[in-house]
Amino acid sequence: MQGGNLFEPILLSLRIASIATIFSLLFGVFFAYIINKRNIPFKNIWETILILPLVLPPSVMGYLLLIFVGKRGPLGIFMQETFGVTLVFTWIAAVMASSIVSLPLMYQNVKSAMISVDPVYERAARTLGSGEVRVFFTVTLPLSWPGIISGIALTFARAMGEFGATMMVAGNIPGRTQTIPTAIYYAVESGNTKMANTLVLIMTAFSFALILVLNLWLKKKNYNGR
Amino acid sequence: MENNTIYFKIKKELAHFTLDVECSFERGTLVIQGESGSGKTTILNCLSGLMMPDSGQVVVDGVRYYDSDTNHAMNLATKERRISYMFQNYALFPNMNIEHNILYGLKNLPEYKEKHQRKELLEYADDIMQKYRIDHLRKKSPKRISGGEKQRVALARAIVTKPKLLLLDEPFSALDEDTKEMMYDEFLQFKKDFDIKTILITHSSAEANLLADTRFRLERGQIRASEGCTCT
Repeated sequence: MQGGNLFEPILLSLRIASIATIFSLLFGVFFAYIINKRNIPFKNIWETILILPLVLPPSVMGYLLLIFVGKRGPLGIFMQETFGVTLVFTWIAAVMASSIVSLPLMYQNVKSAMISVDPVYERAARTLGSGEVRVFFTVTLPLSWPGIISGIALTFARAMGEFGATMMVAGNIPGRTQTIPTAIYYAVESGNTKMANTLVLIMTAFSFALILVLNLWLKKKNYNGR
Repeated sequence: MENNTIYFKIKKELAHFTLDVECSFERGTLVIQGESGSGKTTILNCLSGLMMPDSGQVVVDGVRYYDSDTNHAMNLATKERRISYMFQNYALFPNMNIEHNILYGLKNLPEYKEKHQRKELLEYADDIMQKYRIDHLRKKSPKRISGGEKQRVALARAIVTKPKLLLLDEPFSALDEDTKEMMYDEFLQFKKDFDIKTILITHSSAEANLLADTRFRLERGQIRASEGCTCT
């Protein structure tokens, strides 16, 4: 790693965080909708399961994921037998770890946006002949937009910074699974202070900029009355 | 049941009393007058299918929308009912401009999928927008128009789909006094121009006197006095 490639972990982190954000977005919006806008049984149980990754140590999440996707895990066996693919210690496993760990942030943001949508708009859409799918795509989702944007930004930032679970299922293989946080850990371990400083600076600047832009945007949205 | 009659019999347990009404009317505007909390809006919600009565029947122009009779029980979904509902604060979609608000319901009509019928529907929508002088607002956001304009847009959105029944929930309560007077005149003109059976609810007896063809007063879920309709 002495004088190691700086760009590989950055590019890999961006790729993993982007894909993880897309998964979190799809699942986060889906669960926020069915738990908060539809009548499904055991709402509280589903919600607790979704929030759990937020409070459990990432190493616990990583271990659970390892049991699931590892060589003897159900998904691991399935992928190996069907596609001849090993998931563990690949960047795909890192995507899974980041998605699961950041899903609660997405869920919470989309949920509060959705429950703040005045139900009268959804009722109006129904009386104008819309079925539930059209109500969702034309009214509920567009009116939840500010919450979805903050969900995307925070999820992306969380996925970029994911360390514990990623380390357990994807390891720290330079050029293959080494992300910014694991590269920082390795650089510190091996006494490569220059590398560690550079990556820490990049990571901090990136997160700072993301949160700042998000806050400014949300403020502007509010001043416009929405 | 006559083919051009609106008939409803609604029984529903509410927090402090039981709503229990039966009424039919054949034309014009039925005004339901009552204090807030007397069960008026619940009637509209049951008619539109947004809420389900405990028991009763809703029949619009010979078509059963709701029936609790076990022999032919049914409850048509809101989107299947040809009933338009104008909400108290108009509920114009804030994420769409005025034009998209007005055309929103048209796009759900089966006729809209036929090319030649779609053209007719869009022309009809244009006519209504011109008639209500909201044509120039097409590209504006609902947040940027006045109270009177909002009401015209909401009414246009409700009637553009040619509903069998129009429900108006306190349509004038959000307006200032001057605008209110003007909108009363517009509503009377609307009644002349369009032959749409309408149920209007209001707490004001002056409004009821001015706008009703038939009417009843609702007190704690019961009909107290009716005029021009068979209501009990």
